[in-house]
Amino acid sequence: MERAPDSGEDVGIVAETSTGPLSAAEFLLDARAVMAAVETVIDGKRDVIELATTVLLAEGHLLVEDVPGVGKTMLARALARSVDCTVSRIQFTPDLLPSDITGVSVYNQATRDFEFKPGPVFANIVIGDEINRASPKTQSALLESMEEHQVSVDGGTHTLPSPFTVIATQNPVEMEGTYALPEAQRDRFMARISMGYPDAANEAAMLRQREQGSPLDQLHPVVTIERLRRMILTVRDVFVSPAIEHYVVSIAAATRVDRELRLGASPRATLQLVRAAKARAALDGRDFVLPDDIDALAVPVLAHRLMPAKSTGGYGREALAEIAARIVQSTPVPLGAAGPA
Amino acid sequence: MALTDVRRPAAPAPAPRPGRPARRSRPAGDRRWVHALLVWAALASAFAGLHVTLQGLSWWFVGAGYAAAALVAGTAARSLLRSAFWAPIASFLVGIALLTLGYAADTAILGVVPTLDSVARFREIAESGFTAIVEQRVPATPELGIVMLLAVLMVFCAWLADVLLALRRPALVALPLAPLLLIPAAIRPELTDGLWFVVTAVLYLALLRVGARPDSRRVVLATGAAVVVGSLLLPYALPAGRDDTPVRTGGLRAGVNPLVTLGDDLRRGAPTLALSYTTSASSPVYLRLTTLDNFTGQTWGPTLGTERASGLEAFPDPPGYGGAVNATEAAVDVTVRDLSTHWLPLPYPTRSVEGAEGGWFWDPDSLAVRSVGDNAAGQSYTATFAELHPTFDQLRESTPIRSRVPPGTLDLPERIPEIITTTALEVAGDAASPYEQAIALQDHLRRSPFTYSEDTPVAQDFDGTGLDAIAVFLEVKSGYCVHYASAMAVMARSLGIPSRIAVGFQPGQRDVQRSPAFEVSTNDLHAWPELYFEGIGWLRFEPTPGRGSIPQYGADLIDDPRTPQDESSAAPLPTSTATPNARGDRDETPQTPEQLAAEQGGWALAALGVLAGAALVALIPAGFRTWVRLGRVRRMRRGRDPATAAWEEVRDTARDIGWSAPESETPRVFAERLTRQIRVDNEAIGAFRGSVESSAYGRPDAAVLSPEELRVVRRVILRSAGARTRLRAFLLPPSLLYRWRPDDA
Repeated sequence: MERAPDSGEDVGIVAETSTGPLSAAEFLLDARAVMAAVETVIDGKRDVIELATTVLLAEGHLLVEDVPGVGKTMLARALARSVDCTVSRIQFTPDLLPSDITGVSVYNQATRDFEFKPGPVFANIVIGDEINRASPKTQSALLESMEEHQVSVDGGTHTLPSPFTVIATQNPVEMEGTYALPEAQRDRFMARISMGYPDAANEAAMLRQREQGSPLDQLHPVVTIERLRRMILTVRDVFVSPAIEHYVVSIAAATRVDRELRLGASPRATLQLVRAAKARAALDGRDFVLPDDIDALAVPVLAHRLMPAKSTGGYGREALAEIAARIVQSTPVPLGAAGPA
Repeated sequence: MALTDVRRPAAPAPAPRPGRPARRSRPAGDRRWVHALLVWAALASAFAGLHVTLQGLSWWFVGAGYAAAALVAGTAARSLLRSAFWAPIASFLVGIALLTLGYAADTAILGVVPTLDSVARFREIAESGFTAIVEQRVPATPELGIVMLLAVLMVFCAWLADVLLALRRPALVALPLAPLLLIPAAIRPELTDGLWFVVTAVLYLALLRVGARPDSRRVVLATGAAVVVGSLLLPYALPAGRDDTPVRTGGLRAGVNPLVTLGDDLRRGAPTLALSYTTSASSPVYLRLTTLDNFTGQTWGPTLGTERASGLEAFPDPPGYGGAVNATEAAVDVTVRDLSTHWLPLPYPTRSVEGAEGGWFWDPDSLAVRSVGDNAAGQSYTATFAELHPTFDQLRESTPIRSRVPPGTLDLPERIPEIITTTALEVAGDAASPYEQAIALQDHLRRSPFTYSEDTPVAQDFDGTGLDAIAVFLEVKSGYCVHYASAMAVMARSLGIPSRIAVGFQPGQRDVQRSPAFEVSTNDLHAWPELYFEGIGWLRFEPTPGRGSIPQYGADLIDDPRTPQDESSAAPLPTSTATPNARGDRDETPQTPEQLAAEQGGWALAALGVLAGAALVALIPAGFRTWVRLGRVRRMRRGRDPATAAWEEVRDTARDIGWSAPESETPRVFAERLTRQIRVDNEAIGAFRGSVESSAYGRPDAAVLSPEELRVVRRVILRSAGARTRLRAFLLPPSLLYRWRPDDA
């Protein structure tokens, strides 16, 4: 476990004087600063970085899934570092216990009382590294905190800081020494992304960079926690028209009746898809959601929640993503004042 | 240049798609009037199909007007009363009030509230209407009774359609439409005008389209197809060969106004025996059905006088008969054969009739005998009549006395074609007395270059008895009895001689040489003028060359050796020369070049008409597409979901020129596709896409989308296609099919 550097005065972050939503220009400026900062660490993964930022701004949790060594953890750490907030990192291992995540109550000799020692989950951004290496029991310790933003230990309930985002990385389920993430927990992640291998040019650039030491060390926070809160408020303000609501509901409904799927998108998925779309719209400088936002996010937001029909079998990550994409493509896009029929 | 979809095509087994979202419904009131307008148009169009059965257009205006009034009343009632129960009753009452106002105002309270007298009046008019329908041949004269019945029918159909609309069953509007469409098919299948079927079907489809719920497009499609196919096939499915006469082919009916159909009757082939008679008279007799003295400028109408007298034992003295004229009584025994009529064929002036069965009455002015319910067919009766022998002096000295002229027999419309008056003056202006004027007119018309032809008037399209027809006839100098009779009667009136037209039969052929028995065929149907001379009465004249016989009282003035005199002994047969069909001058001579040219002109006109009709039908899809587009522009102007309207229009425009435009494509993706392909005016497309997006998905207070933007983008899209594609897009827009493709419902 590590703690990110707390102070950011050397990057010239201005103190917030207001707490309301930002203007579109201010928002874009900051959002681009965050993405630019992350990009200094992760080369040539613009879309992945954008998606990660989207999830952060939409108050969701992000699951980064890929083979080892493609920069999953690097992405999570870079994103966490670019914001001046509390960050903790949990390395999941098979022997990790739930209390190692949530914290424990210890007896204080001085006060003669049990005292709650918060675990690493008490941070604005929690990096869960190789989350599927821990036992399901430990994994589920994260469940409550992710959905309810609180931790219950020994009969006491402790509220988590706000904003609270879990960025978990995992190796594909097929890899050795992994415990598959239960559906319930998968459903709690707003989006799942994979890094993919860098292209040749970027990989070569990375090699040169690393000669001079980890670029992560040069990364300084570009926004304060207050600013991030205001950015999140801005995203909440993005308008969602009835037509978009109808569109999202149609897509979700289609996943539930699709013959190739056993489990479709949950209402939580619908909700998170809209939230993510709002963040994407804001990142695009708009104050309203377009069907294009939904289209762009439907696969990362929905695919990891779907379960293939048993009879057809043999579906991997890509196959599910394809099914999700196909469903989105065949759903008519409503226009204008069209609402749910 | 078909664009391919950027997105991958759907997998073979797509998930059932949720239905297209319902459009925001328009305000109910507005929709109501659109429905009412469409229903009216469909009713009026179906009604227009009746034009094959009725003459003129007046009846259409009356019927369509009443339908419009009833629909306006119904729609307004629904808007005001908002009651499913009272609105139809209110509109029904309004319909009744309007009919009362139109046909029985003087018997009604305040002109609109019908009384018992009004009911009686309606019954009376309706009866005359039914009689007219039964008696007339198509195309019939739209008499008051017929028009009123049609008005009642239209009011009822409009009311029914209105109720069906109120019940939200626009598909059932076919119920009132179908009978209207079927009337002409039932009367005369071979004449049914397909154009009005198609127009009505299209309007009906439009009504279904407008009135349909979004989820019922499949039903609309199916119903529409059924209606179109059904309407086109139905006329042929009806039993063929239904004659409009109870008498079989070749038989004859003479209706209320036999003059109107006389030409058709003569032109029909295969003459049959209409009646036979034996007479004791010195010469063969003309048997009259009725007289027509009511000249409107268009037609000669019968005087349906209100005065009726029954009892055929004794007739009054004929009008104008002074007693000084020598008269001999003669009898004729008539047996009516293949003739169905409510007029009794009688010689003039009749003194008495014996043996006729049924309720017959005579009209004191014309002495014509008719019945309302009974038919002359099959009757045998004996009529006595007076043969008048006025001397030449009596004839010459007879001058009309204004006060004693039978009413209406000198009436002429104010404007008469010049050729009629000048011909009359040229021919008879110098004659010393009215009688000599009449003889001069008769003589002029019988002489060359006037020829008898039943076909020329039809070929040159001037068939009829109106002033215009007479004017053409006097120029062309070719026609049949109707034209000669009408021309002489009108010219006589213009010279101050009271005149009327008699319709009946020329004497026919003797059974055997010298026998007093005559056979009259359906080809002997004839019309001739009767002129009035004070002190003598009505005298018949025979201006038609080669037809009938010239009355003896004028014979001594005729010196035309070609003209047969009244038959006395073994003279040539009066009505016929040696031709087997007993129709002497029936024009079978080779046609003159002018006639040929005229006939070809007629063909050219017909071809032109067919072309115009085909063009109209071909333009129906274009018209419908334009209607759809204008509807969307209107929606945009009114701010009713302008984004959907604009975007659907852009997509349809792209579809029209052969591009794909799937419903699952977002405006942004589609616009990108467009800009990649078109490359010109990309800013316009981009700006339009932005406007659509913010209007469709933005906050409700977003800027309004202007129809101008749509116009620009439409032009950009259309210009990207070739002229041929654009023409095809105009005439057969594929987007129309797309609208009703069940897959996209």
